Amino acid sequence: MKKVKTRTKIIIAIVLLLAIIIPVFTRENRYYMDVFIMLGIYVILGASMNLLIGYSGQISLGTAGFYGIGAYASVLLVMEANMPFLVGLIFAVVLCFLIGYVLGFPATKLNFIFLGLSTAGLNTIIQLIITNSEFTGGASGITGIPSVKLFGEPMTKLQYYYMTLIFVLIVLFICYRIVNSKTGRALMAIKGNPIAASAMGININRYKLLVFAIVSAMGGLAGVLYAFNIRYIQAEAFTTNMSFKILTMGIIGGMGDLGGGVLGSLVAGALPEFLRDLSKYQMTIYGLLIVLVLRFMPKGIVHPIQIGLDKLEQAITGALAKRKAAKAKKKEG
Amino acid sequence: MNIFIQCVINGVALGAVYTIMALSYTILFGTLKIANFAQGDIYMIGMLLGFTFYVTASMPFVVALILAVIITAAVLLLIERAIYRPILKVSSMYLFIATIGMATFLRNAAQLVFGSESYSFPHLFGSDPIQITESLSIIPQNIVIIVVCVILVVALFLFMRKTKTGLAMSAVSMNPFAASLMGVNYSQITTITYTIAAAMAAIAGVFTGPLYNVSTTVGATLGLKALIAAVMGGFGNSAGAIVGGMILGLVEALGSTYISSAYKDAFAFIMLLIILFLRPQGILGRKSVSKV
Repeated sequence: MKKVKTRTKIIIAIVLLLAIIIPVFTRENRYYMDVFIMLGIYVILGASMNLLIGYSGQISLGTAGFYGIGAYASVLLVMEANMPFLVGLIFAVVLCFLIGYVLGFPATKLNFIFLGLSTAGLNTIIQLIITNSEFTGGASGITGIPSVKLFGEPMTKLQYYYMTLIFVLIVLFICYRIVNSKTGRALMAIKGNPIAASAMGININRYKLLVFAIVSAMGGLAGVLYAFNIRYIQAEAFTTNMSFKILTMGIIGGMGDLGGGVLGSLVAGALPEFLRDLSKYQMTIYGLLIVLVLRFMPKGIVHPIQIGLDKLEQAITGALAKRKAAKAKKKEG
Repeated sequence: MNIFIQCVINGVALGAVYTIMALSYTILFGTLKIANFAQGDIYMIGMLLGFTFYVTASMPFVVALILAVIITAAVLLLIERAIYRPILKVSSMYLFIATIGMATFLRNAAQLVFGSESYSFPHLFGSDPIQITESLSIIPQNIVIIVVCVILVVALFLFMRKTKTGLAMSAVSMNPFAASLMGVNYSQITTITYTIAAAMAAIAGVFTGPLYNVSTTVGATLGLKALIAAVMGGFGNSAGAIVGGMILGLVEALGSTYISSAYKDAFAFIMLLIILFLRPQGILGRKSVSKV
């Protein structure tokens, strides 16, 4: 396993600390809490998309479809079959994994164009089923989703946020393990040269398919978390526009960089909150962001930050070295 | 039986639209191995420009058509030069993602300019259906579309087989490096290919204006379905684009009558999944050897 740099450890510690502490101060404000919970959900979606594109060289234009399956499957199970939340969650995740596996089966053998098309197709079909079926409440959606209970009491927003944060950490850990494992190295070999990789005995399709199915399951998980926070779902939340938004989150941070995936999700997810008056420009900006980042910063917005941190680190170690040298001189003198 | 024949007539007309658009994807992919996801939005730009010149500025139809084609081609060429070409140097997958971003951008930017209303485009030869028999009819605009499709297909085939540029394009599609050694100007071929693709999309846009309401979202689904038609037929294969386009048009027309009209947009994707399972290289496609 690759050794994690001290710098990365410090950054993770700071970000995690902020993620734990800040919401404590805003726990009374429902709006802020919803924004924070949503950001957590976006990190799950964006980081898994980053894993899919950046490490396995695949694409999904239908993540919002899995997001929708997760939301509806868990809600229906909890409301119609009176199952506990956790059962609904596990069922939704497993269902999305299986659907991803079946859908990815023919598509992963081909190139990303086919996968893009069939996932966009899945999104459209799910959208149509949700709007035209009775069991999904049709176009008006499902209201009155019960709140998640903790020790018999309905969860507060802060508790729900921490639950989301735990799932975010689990997802990030799984992504990290996939990247830094046999699977990750196999994926890297496939990305570098698929023919050589398969000659080395790597079963390309198996690995690609596995990652695709895992990412689909993570999309489902995000859907569950979304549905039980908002407690009202309708078809409009799961359109292809949402899939494009998720794609933006996965890309702009920097493909093939987990930290970039998190940063991209936070930036793209928080953007609408800063641009509330400009909400009609939202999708235009997302489209433009993808194009401009790929054109001018193919390594993502995390890259200039990394360069900046490199310089900072150099400056600090340089200054420390100088001080040491000066001290040593003093001692000598 | 009459309903069935009526469906086939409508399906052929719809198939003609898909065929033109599928060909505009195919010529780009066949020659340059580029899948421009924004092609449906290029079609939308062509339609909006045609509408602006023909209806708003009340120019003669032919002038409006030519202007729409020229400006649409200029827009796509500008995008290609400024965005696509530099990204292609990094990775072809990045380029595909960039075309998706471009599609999202164009669609929503156009909505900011033109608004979200939809406009009706006057029919060229009136909107009264022509009665073939008592219960069979066809809208004149559908005949126009079928004729335009046939003309474009014939012109494209003659161009590809009989002209020097067309042959150079075939050479580039087989081996860009060898073609450039033989004196083919790759950059020039790229420009010509994009121009043809944009022109076909714009022509389809202007001629289908009367059939669909003119709006900024018209290209999204149509573009996606035409890409599916191209992929089903065997991506990069012109004959495949025609077969795929026609089959898709017929399946949609028959399916929305006999199965369900609410799920009309799902048929294309279900067919795509079936074909990907049974014959991944497409109906007329050849299995590529280098893929693993």
